[in-house]
Formats: sequence, C-alpha cells, structure tokens
Amino acid sequence: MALFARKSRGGNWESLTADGPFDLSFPTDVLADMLDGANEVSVWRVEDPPGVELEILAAALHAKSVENLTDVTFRFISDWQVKEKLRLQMRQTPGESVDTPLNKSGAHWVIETNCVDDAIRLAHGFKQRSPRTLNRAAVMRRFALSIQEKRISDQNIAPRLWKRLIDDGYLAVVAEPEVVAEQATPANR
Amino acid sequence: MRHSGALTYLNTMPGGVMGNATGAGVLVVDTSTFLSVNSNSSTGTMVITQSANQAVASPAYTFSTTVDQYKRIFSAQCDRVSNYIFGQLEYVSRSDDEQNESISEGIANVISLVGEPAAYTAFVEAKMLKDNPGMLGPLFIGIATADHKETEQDRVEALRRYAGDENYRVRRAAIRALGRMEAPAAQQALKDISRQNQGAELGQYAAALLR
Repeated sequence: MALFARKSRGGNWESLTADGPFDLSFPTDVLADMLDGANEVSVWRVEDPPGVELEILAAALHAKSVENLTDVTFRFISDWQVKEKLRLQMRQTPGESVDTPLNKSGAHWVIETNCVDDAIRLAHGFKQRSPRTLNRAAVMRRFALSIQEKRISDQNIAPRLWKRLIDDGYLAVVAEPEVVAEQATPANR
Repeated sequence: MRHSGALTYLNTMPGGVMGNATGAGVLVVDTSTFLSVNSNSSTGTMVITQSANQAVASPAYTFSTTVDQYKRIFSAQCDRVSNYIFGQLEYVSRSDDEQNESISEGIANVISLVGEPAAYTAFVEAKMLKDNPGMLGPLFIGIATADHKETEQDRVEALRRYAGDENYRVRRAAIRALGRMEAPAAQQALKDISRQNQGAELGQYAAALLR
C-alpha cells in the first residue's frame, strides 16, 4: 500500500481529534495548512512505511531562490483512504519541485476537494497517521546528496545556499584531476 | 562656621553611583585653613580641595558617572536594535517561509554583532508580540540562530519558557527555534519537552528535531 505525503507548514493539528469536530468549530488554520489554491491538495506518493524517498522529497520541496533550508514536517494519508473511504478524486500531475527525476517519476498527485466537508474529512484522514519531521541537518544532508547525485541542478541553487552547504560541511569542492594532453614526441609522431 | 575633628556623611544623592555603592561616603576634614573633601566609593576616590573655610552643604549638583554614560549607550543600542527588529518583522510573510528565514537571519546577525543589548531587546519584542505568533516565529528563529555565546543560556531559557505557553502556535514556534540551536541546554530542553508532551504532536515534533 502506498501513502501520500504532504508538506505541512503549521496549523494547530494537535487540537484535531480523529472523530471530530466536523462542524463550524473546525480549526481554520488546519484547513489553511492543507489546502492549496483552487481547492486542490498537492501530495507526493511514497512507500509505506516511508523510506529514503521521503528525505529526497524533503530536499526537493524548496523554492529555487531559497538561501537556507529548514526542517520539514510531512503528514500522510493512505491511497485506500483517499480513494475508497473518502471517495475523493485524484489526478496525477507533473511535480514542480527542484528535483527533476522526482518530477518525472509520476509521484506527484492532486486531491480535489469540492466543498468544505471534503476538506474536513481529508484533514481527519491526515490526522490518523503520525506526522514525521526531518530536522534541518537531515534536510541539508539530503540536499547535498541530491546535488551530488545530480537530482538537483546547480541552476536551482541560490549562491548563498551553495556557500552555506560548503561552510557547514555538507558539501566539499573537490578539484578534478587535471588531464594533461600527451605531448608529441619524436617517437610517437 | 568652624568645624573641629572629622565628620563623615553618607552620600545619599539620588541616582548617584556613590549613593548606591555599598560603604561609599564623603569625609569632610576641617583644618581651619582650608577644607578638603575626600569623596570615595567602591569604584574610585577623588579629592576636592576648597579654600573656603565653611561647612559643605548638601550638594545640588549631580554626578555624571561612567555608569550613566554606559546606560545611555546601552539604551541607544537597544533603541536601534528595537527599530531594526520591528522594521524586519514588518516584512514577515504568512506564506513565504524563505522570506521569513531571511528576516530571521537578519535578526540573528544583529544579535551576533551587538550581543547583550540586542538579545535582551529581542526578548522584550517577543513579549510585546506574544499575541502575534505569526511574527514570533521568525523572531524566535533569529534569537535561536544568533552566534553569541554569552547570551546563549538566556536565549535557551527564554525560548524554553515560550515552549510552555498556552498558545499552541507560540509553543510550536519556540520548539522549532530550540531545534535550531546546537547548545546542550537547548537539546536538553527539547528532551524535556518531548518527555512532558509524550504522545502529543508537539512532543513528537521536539523529539524529531533532536535526531
């Protein structure tokens, strides 16, 4: 079974219990944290339990202009719950992360919420699984690794982030061995 | 009027450093020919010689001491830092984490540079912004990520107090900021928070930031 992971930026999720509320007292900051524009919820497909792909995702979900990386919290919902239990529509779309192979892997999905009730039920679905936080050091480490593996192009990295990765010891600049052209000698002419 | 012998008066000038200093006093010595006043404090001694042969009345002047000057300098530094922090926090965005991160970095830099006046001014600002968790987040990160060893312990303690606030968002912001500190005291604070909130989201969050 696969899971869908979503980056969470805040909201009082702690006040939310598995069985309520489903009414007007539902915390709005939770809805604000969950919904993207146009009543859509952007999620990424990961394995259950999440493995290294979650770290790759954490490194990938940063803006190109970002000069520093921070801790990332993910919330999860199972594909069975979205499709079978909540019966919400999903569609696969190209991802817009800084990790090109990840974008091309087809891991990015969008859950459509047509009304507030859909959004509240979806939030309860996300609440049923424990969130997972990757601290800044882990994100920086994985970001450096993604650069090394050429998953993240150097065009997507701000100069100050380069400097920070090197200064903090996550990346080292290693000069490639100089290739000296073989000089023509009378013997091999 | 003539005095014989030596008289000792306790200097009680309001605000004067000698008035506050333990054991500070003014010794008036009358030799009939001239009056000398030996004024001493715990920090220094000065001798004022007067040719008038008269008793020294309670002085109406005030001392301008080095401490007064330090106070003025410290106060001016606090004002400048306060203006800077508020100026930075005006640009806090509710949706742009990256922008908030650069605001935090600016605040951290000024604390690293100015030290105590900046750190304690930031605490005052945090207290004033207590009902505005959106702004507190970047301010807390700035307080946490400053590179100033002398205020590190106080910064940890301040954030630790906010981690027990009644407002969930303030608690979370403080825990997040503690997670950005490498000080052993901050790590210990996260361990304590994780233990106290075991099973709750914030407890898990604190534990995750420790790893």
